[in-house]
Amino acid sequence: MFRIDKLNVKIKDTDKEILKDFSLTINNGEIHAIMGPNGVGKSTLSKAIMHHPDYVIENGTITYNGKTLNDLTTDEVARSGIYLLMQDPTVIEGVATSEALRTALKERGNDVNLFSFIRDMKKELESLNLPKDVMNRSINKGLSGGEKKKNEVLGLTVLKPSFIILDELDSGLDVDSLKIVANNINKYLEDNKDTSVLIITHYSRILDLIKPNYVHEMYDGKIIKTGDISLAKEIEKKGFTGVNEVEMSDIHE
Amino acid sequence: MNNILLDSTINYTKEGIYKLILDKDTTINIKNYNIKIYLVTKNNIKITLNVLNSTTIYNITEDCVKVDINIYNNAKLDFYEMTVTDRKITNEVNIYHQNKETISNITCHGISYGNGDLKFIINGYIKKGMINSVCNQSSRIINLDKGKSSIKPNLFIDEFDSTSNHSAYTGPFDDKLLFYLETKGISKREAFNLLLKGFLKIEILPKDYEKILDDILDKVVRR
Repeated sequence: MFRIDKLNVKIKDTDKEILKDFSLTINNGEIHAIMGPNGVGKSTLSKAIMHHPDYVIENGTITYNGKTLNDLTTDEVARSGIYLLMQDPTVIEGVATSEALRTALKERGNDVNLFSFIRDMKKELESLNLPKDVMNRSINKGLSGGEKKKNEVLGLTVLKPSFIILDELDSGLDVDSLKIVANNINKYLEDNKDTSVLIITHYSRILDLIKPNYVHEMYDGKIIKTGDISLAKEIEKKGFTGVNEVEMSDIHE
Repeated sequence: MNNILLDSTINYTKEGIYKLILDKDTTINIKNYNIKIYLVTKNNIKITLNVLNSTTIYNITEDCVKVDINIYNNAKLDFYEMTVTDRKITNEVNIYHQNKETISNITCHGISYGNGDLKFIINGYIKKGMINSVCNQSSRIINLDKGKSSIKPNLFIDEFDSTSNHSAYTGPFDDKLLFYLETKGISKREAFNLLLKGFLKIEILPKDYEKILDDILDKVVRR
């Protein structure tokens, strides 16, 4: 079980509070989606979970399978089974994707045979419709926005996490690429039934492909509404709650 | 690696891959195509490269080095400098486009660690009349510990019909690079080592040449 309890997060060296008493519980095997307009703290949430150096946890706890994550380092959080699929994956010149992933496996005590590692990578690259030389290229270098996301999904299938955070998965992906990526994630979830997913998104289209058990609407650093997929459809139709209120007051004026 | 300590002038007339450790002033003439040269320079020396045909040259150094490059005959030169130091040293590279339609791509990457003070001086010269010449420079130095560094990229261009570019960076590794690798479950130390090696190994290098760089980098990693 992944649990966030009354989490308060600030931007480092400022008084700007982004997450305010944020709470969320995700049971094993559940898929949750968080929707909200720009600037409400959705991406901060994913970074705070991974202990991004730009953010500071002021209060509250994050626990995963009974273990408190607050005092862990980023790599320890990742090795506890959490995988962040970034909104804008970083380009790292000189470090090959295969080298990084193999190091990541070694760090997990899983020093795989090079032959089987390459064989598995090639298989995954093929299913993601990525060129085979991507594994030997510098991480995400020269890849389009969509290919970068696919490359991140490649990392997911190799590292086999039990909790996945998809931060704006659909940004930069065309319709076909989104389907390929979603299919690969769904296949992973089928093969790993206990895996939980936190989807962070503006739009409901990704939720048509990776179906959530719960949808939360976020505003001003906390969850203000929870429902099922119908909440996402309602948001898609009527807009976000806070935004609607502003629009309505504008109309009244 | 071949140890060349005899003649101060070396002529390459046959295509191939050449590996040299140089510890005294040397002139190298590249007179054929398909020549790649892997250098290790020591003892504060001066190298003169006369490039008569397109070539790629790599140099690993922990010392001061001055490299004068003359490019002739529509040749293209790709030059890679890889420097690691914990001392005060200067690497100077002068590129002279001696004929029109000559191309130089100069990439210098350095690590300044401990109490290191690394200076790159990269001067590109395109004289009047050297039309369609291209002079590119990219220099980066990563500072670790108390390491200092400076880069002086200079382009002396006296021909309108030519192209020149330069970029330079000195400073630490970007935190977001470390964060990305750490989110994959790689410890900060291992992530740092990956970045360090990736930064210096700009291109795929032959194994025995890469080993020399690895041995030098080990000193940084183990410090």
